[in-house]
Amino acid sequence: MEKIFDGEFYSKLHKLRMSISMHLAAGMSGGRKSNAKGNSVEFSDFREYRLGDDFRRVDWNAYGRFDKLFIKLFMEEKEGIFNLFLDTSKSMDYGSAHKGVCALRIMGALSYVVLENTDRLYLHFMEQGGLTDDKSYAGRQAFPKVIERLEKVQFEGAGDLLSSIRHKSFRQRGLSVLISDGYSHDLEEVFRYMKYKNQQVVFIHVLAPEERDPSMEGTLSLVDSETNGKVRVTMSATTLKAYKKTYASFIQKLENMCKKYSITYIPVNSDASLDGIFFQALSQMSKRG
Amino acid sequence: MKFLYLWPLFLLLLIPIIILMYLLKQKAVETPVSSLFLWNEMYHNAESNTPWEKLKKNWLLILQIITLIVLILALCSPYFLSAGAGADHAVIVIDNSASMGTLSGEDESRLDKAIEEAVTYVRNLKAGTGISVVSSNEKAVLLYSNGEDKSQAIDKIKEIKVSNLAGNAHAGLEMVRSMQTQWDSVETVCFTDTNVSMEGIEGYVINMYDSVENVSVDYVGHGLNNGELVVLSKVSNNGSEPVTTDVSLYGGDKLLQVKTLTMEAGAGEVLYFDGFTTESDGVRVEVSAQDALKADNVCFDVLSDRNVTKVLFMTEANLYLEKALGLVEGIEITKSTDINGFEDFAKDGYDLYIFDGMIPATLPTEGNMIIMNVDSCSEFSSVEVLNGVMIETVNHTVTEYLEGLSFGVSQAYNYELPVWGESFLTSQNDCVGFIGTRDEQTICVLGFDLHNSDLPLKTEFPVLVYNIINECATNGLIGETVFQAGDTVTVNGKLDEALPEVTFPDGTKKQLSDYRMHFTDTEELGIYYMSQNTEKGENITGFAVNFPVSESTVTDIPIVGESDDGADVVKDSVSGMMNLRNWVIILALLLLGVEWIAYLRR
Repeated sequence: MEKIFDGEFYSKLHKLRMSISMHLAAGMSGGRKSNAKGNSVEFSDFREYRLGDDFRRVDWNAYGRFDKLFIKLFMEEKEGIFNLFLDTSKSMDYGSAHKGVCALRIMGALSYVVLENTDRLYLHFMEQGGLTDDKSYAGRQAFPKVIERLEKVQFEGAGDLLSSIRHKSFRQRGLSVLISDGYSHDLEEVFRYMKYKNQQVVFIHVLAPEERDPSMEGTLSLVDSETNGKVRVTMSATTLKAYKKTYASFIQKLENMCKKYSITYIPVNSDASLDGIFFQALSQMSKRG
Repeated sequence: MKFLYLWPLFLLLLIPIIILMYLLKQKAVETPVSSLFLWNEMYHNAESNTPWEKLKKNWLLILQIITLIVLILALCSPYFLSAGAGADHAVIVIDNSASMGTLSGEDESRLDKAIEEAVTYVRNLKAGTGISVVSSNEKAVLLYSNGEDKSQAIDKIKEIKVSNLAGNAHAGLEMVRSMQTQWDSVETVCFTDTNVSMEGIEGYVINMYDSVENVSVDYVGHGLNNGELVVLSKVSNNGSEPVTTDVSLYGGDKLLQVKTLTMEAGAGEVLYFDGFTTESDGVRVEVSAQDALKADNVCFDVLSDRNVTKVLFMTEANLYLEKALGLVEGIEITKSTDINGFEDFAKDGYDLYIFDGMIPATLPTEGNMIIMNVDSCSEFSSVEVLNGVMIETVNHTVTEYLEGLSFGVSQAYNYELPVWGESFLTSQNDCVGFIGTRDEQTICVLGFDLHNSDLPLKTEFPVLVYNIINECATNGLIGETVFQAGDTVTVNGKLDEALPEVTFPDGTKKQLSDYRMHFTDTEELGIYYMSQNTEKGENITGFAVNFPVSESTVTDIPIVGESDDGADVVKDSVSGMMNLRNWVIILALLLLGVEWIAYLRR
């Protein structure tokens, strides 16, 4: 496998950092704000006192002025929870523009952003029906560790996304990003499970150019990299046409599925540039809010 | 629709093999892909997985099977039968006379075309038809008799060669007339370039005639003019266009003279060649014109006087003998009754003198003699006169084939046998007829008057005369020197000598089976030599065999659409059966094309 995190990757991360800074300066405000109102210092709203409220949060100034008890509501500032799930099945180990490498780079870049934003990062590797590295990372100083971990990833074995995701308990709300080629009949179940666990889900769908537009010829016996299953295909114009039709239908089906479960769907070609992929991802995610 | 052959149907067994091959297919190259998720999805959408269901939608396979069936159908040679083609017996008559050697196309003669058509006809016959093949020129030859094996019949047809003989299909059709009486249903197809009558024959004539350009040398002769050899030749332009050609005279292989000749269409010219010398005993005249019939471009002649025996017949009247002499070929008879004027006649010199009841005072010193009914002369004399006796033959060369001949005479001379003579007719051991050679003169003596005997009434009479003439004649082995191909050459070899031998124009030699016979193996054109070794040395006579003039231009051609029996009796090509094989093959090719397009678009 080619070197995943090379000089070019870091130079792109630097650009990304500046872009994100600009993004934040444009009004996104620093840190991740939870929708839950809580006890942080940042004021959010007033409401009348109700039985059981903490006296310490009564705004006495307002009482002096309005003769009514008001409770000061503050924006509860929470650490954002980011779960990144990577499909490490053998099918990801494919493509002239390697799908696995592309996926790892996306994961690395996302991790960088998350850690830069002082959020908590959980990396998950979905391996042969299991899930590894349910370990958290926080703070930009953790980024080298993340990179170190990502560099150890091996793509092998048959994937079972549903079994893998069920190993994740999802104790807190958060944003979960699934990076996979989506070759699973249980993908809908996976999404449903994640949504059930109150996750905001982003599905980054990585496919190689050969899968999008195969250029094979002759009579071939196609061998599945995960299962070693075989299919005999004569690569004629009609066959390729039928394949492309199936491919388009597959993408459409995933898009519809993601819409159905309010999942951000980000299709990625493994031969696309990282910054292109990332800004596409950001824009998609920001559309979703 | 019927089929000529049914054996190709076993090829239908190939259909399951094709299906099996389709199911097994060839081994494909293994190519790893990330996942078969989409490919399986594609197949799931496109077709079912069971092999038989796969077949159901596979147009290529279906097309292949249909193409195979159509090809098998083509091998079965399907045909539509029309009237006549369904006869149980078929007779093919092919005219192989000399005119059928005329080139009809570039390199194809009328006979080649006829053979081609005949082969097509035989191939198209339904299985089980009794096939007969007859070649016809002067004579008909039955080459294949009522057999059902088409390949054998075709082989026999292909063996037919153009002859140099005159004739047409008439002889062959005569044979068919006698053959067909044994069959109920017979169709005769006659391939000829000459008009023939199909009366009484079911079938039709395939006309092989076509108008061509042809120049022929019809005749070559020679003579002496003021002691110099002159050769004359007749050349004809049988074509429809004027022609200019070189006419060459050869002596042996040496070119003697060339003349250029221009002739109008249909014209004939006589050419004279003189002022040359040759040591060859044969000449040939040849035209250089490139025409449709090459065999008649050359004509041969033998440079020798005709081997005719000149006979002086001195008699008051002897019709019996005259008639008998008329049957002997190669003799030229001069008759006279005036024995007193004999010496005047004899000045010309004759090969043979026949004295019947009279004898000159002085016998000729050259030439042979047959002396009849004379009691004595300077050479012999009778000893007594026998009255009312029976005469019998004695074993001798002149009485060959006449053993047991006995005839009665009212009066006969009993001769005293001279020392040079051998008796061949006796009456109770008294010699009444003898023959012998004295001073190189053969003298035959018969001691009775034919009119006073019953010998002329005997069937053996002409044979006896023939034998005596042959013994006494001084001519060569054969009488004539120029023949047409196929003519009969009468050979008169000396008995008790070696058997005659013939040398063909190509140099091959063949010994004849008898001294006297009709030699008929004269198809080859050119100069032949007949020879016989005798005590006096080798006797050689040459004779020329030429192309039959009647074959150079065929005028009595078949007329399409006109015949005694109806318009369809003369046709230009074989029909009666519409063979669908070619159409089926075209259909198969179209199917292959469709399959190819389907394969490309798959």
